[in-house]
Amino acid sequence: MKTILVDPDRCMQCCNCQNACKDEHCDNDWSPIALPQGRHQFWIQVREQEVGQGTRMKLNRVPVLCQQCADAPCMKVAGEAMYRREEGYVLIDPAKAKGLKKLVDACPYGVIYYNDELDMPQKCTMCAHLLDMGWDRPRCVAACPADALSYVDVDELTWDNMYAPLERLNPEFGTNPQVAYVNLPKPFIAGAVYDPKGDRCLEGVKVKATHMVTGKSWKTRSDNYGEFRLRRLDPGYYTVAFDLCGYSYKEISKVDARRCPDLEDIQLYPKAE
Amino acid sequence: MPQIPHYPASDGTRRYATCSTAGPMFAYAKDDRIVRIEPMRFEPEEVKSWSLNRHGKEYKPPLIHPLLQWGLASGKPTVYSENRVKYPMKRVDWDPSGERNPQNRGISGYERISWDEAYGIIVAEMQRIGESFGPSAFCYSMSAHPEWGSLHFVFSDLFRFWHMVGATNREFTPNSWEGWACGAPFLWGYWQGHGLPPATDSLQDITYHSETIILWGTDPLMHNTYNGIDEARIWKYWKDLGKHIIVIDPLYNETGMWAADSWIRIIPGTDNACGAAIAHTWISEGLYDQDYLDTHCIGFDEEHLPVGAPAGSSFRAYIMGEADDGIVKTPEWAEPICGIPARVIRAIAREWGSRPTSMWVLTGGACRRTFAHEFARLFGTLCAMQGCGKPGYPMLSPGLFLAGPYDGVRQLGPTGYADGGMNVVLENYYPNTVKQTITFQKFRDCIENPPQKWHGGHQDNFNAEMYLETCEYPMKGHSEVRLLWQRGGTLTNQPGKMLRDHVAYKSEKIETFIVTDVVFNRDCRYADIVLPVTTLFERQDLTEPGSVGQYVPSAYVGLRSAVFSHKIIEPIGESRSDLAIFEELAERLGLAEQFMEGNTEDSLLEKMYARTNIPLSYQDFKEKGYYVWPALDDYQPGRQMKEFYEDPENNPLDTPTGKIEIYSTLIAEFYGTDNPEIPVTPRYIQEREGRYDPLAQKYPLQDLQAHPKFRFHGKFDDCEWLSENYKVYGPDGYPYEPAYLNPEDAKKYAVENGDIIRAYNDRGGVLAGVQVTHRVTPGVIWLTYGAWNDPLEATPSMLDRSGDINAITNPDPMSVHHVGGAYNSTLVAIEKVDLDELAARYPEGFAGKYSTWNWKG
Repeated sequence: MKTILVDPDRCMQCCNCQNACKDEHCDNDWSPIALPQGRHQFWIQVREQEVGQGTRMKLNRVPVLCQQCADAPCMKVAGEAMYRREEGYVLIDPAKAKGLKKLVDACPYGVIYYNDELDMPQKCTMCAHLLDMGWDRPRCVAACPADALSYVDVDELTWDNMYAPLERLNPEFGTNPQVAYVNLPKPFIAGAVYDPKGDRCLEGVKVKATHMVTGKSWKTRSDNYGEFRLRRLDPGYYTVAFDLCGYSYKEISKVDARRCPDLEDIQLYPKAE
Repeated sequence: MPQIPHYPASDGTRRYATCSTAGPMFAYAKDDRIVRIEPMRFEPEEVKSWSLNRHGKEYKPPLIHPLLQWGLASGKPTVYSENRVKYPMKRVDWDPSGERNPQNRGISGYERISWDEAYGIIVAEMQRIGESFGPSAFCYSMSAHPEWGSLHFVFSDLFRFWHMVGATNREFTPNSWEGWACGAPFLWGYWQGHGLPPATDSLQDITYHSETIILWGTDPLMHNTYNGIDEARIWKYWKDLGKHIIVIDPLYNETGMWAADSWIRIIPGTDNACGAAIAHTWISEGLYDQDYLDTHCIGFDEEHLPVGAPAGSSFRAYIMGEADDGIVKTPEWAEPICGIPARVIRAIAREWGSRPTSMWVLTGGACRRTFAHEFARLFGTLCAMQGCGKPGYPMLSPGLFLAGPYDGVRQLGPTGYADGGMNVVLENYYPNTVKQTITFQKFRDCIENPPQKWHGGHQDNFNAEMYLETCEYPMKGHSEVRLLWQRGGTLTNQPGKMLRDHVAYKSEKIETFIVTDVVFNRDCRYADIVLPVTTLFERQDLTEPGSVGQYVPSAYVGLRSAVFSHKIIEPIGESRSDLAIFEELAERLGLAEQFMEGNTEDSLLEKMYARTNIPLSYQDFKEKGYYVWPALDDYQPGRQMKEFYEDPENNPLDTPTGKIEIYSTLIAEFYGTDNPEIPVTPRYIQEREGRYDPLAQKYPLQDLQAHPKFRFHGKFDDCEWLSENYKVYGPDGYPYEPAYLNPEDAKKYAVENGDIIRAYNDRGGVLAGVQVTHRVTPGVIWLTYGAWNDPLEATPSMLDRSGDINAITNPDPMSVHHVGGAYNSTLVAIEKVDLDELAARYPEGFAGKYSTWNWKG
């Protein structure tokens, strides 16, 4: 199935996807595919969340659009007002959708909007009208300046041509979403190590985080500013160990990775002669 | 199974080409209405691409050239905006043959008049004023960034018309990189680029030679001037190549979040303390190029001072504590000033001093502060200590400095933006007959308290000495200005403390004030006549994307192209192009032949096209709308300052000694060798209205004015598609400008996300919506410029609802050396406000009586 592949790691929240969507759908009537998009709707939206602290904070930016679920909860309540196209896309039929507010609540992703003026629910159409006209991709994908969005055939994605494991957004909703993701935000632990005696940033410190329940560990080395980042961790508590030849070993326990903590300045003392 | 609906094979639109400040685009129209806009895309078979290849990794420019953030919003939301000026308008209580009521500028509303009436009034005013006072009583000016265009650009039609008639130029200083402009020419010349050495082929130099990239107060992805996010893939490519990227900035900027390995927070205005400590580390540890300094520079050490220079005036002496101040500039000295731990300063110095490092330091917010010429000179000196011109050491500005392998000789494109337009192709060029100028920094003083005297303050400088040249107003044999013509309505929110200008606009000395603009806002609200101008979708032009004419050859990392801007729809309302407006005025003044020389818009474009070597006929090019240059197989990249680096004797710089003047002979000559505000060798000078100013007791937050992400300066502030992404919608539904604060400060001042606050100082106040984030250094508030002013009372800037900080930024001179450019040195205090109480206190203001986009009054 051809679908949109989203890589939040490549999103700058420039919102060109949102604006391309609005450019295509606001004030334009693409009947029978869709009526004009209402104000304050985001058929695709970059959702932003700040994590971490201090100089090691991060803005997680995740473009979210209709997930084209295989077990679409909206379809279950829509009756004849929704249909699935040949490519597998789920669409609202504007000719039959008047008054169907319940579609908005049916969607666990919050991507169906209600247009009070038209008195009907609206959502992303994958630019089906353009695909019908022979266009090669939806507008949001063409507008993305940095490949955070691409239009791919997921059946052709393999271990050989994927740069990161394929994921789905909130699979726990149980709707079998068909929009693909890679690099969805994960917890991280960051900080910097220095020697307070010589006031020196410590480079090359082996930093190892061990999950306190699963025992799984992540390793990195500090850079020339003493900085380290342990990325893409599982949620949970960790023991973080610091090891550098000539310095006393140090361990910090019960580090909660869900907060994406900035351990700030970790002091390592030189071993006594 | 019911029938699945499908859309027909065509939507009946026609595709056109055009180019905007956001990049090249296709626009689709049907029945004289724009249906969609999309980034221009090329077909694979029409492209022979250039590429970068390093360590087995390849970079090729994309076939779809990304638009900047406002690109898609510049279409339908702008063209069909309710804020468009649709008809010529006149202020209701301005009567050119009776009472002019200048005191009501900014208060009264406007009424529609006919074009014939508008031209009639303007011609009569020009004749009346011209006959009595001569052409110097006319004054023209422009906003810095009009619609994209080449023929339709200020240096084209605006300059041609007013230079032909003669008029005082109200010019702005190079406020994008003020400190570099007034400082760096004394260091290394390069006055053509306002002190910036062109970064020739920096894309290649960085890719192949740099190992470290330092972003010093610069945000290339979001500096938002003609390019930016189109470089996003290149930054990922550089990161992939293992380049170490660090950002040193009070703000964790977008490029930093996108690509940097480390963000190092610095207290605004203390860059030179950190820079001096870096120099100290280099000198102590031998991490610099003494040979280069000996052969290419003067003034680094005592052995290389010019004749007559006082002992102890070298840079080395200042750093090592051998100058008059006696302070050794160690990292430990700098730490409490700049807020960066000494060990981190040493780490920066060791990295920069031992790996080829590309310094992104040109322009940037650090150069728009008090004493910012010293920032430019000191950081230029640091670059010289590593050898300017050495492979892998290019110095860059966030914008307009990266370009693909474009050959300016064999690939002759049309001039892009910011070039001479019609003046380049017409037979006669008219130098302005009026020599008088007013730098906009002195506008109010000139209007209210003539005579005035200052030095420098020019927009364009043709040598370093022009920064020292004395200007007088009124100039001998010239009149004071009485008729003001302004292109674009956004001039007075660019400098600090706009109240200066708004008060000046209410002066009865300004008898007639005409503004031409696409949308009605800001300065329009002070005009007597407002003329409606077309958007770029409503007229033809010929340009090259990302090419900004005289400033830099090209700022474009895409596939190099030339674009014909089609006229896609008929002008909205009765709008006309500025060119058409001047054409008609010239006609009525009996100057038609001089102005157009018998040409039309189309024949001028054809002549401009004839200067290119694009292998298509004008008609074919016009029909297709674009041309993509094939990459040259034998392209030989140059390098920034390469010739000077290799042979300084035969390629001298444009300084009195031909060398990099760390000790400036011109400054010594003009200011003497002991001026504390502009010393002969660059120094750290504690800034006025900075963190260590006693005023900080009263106004404790330093205002940061990093460019707004979703505006082009002030443009597109009214576009909901964009403002939904960043404005803070108050409980009253009003889109307040965001004020970003560190969590420490939010706690200290007891404010939370979404609170509406007043940021204020002695100059006035603005309202804003709090956004708490770790992206901002403690003690700093990121509340930027560009919102459309919405004063709550008749005197603007006292309390501005829209939150344009330039209502209250610092308008004072940078130093004795330069008349302006200190707006980033602005302190404010904040307090949470009660909106209900304010709404009750300012019922008219809250109803929008003084909103600068309100033409009804």
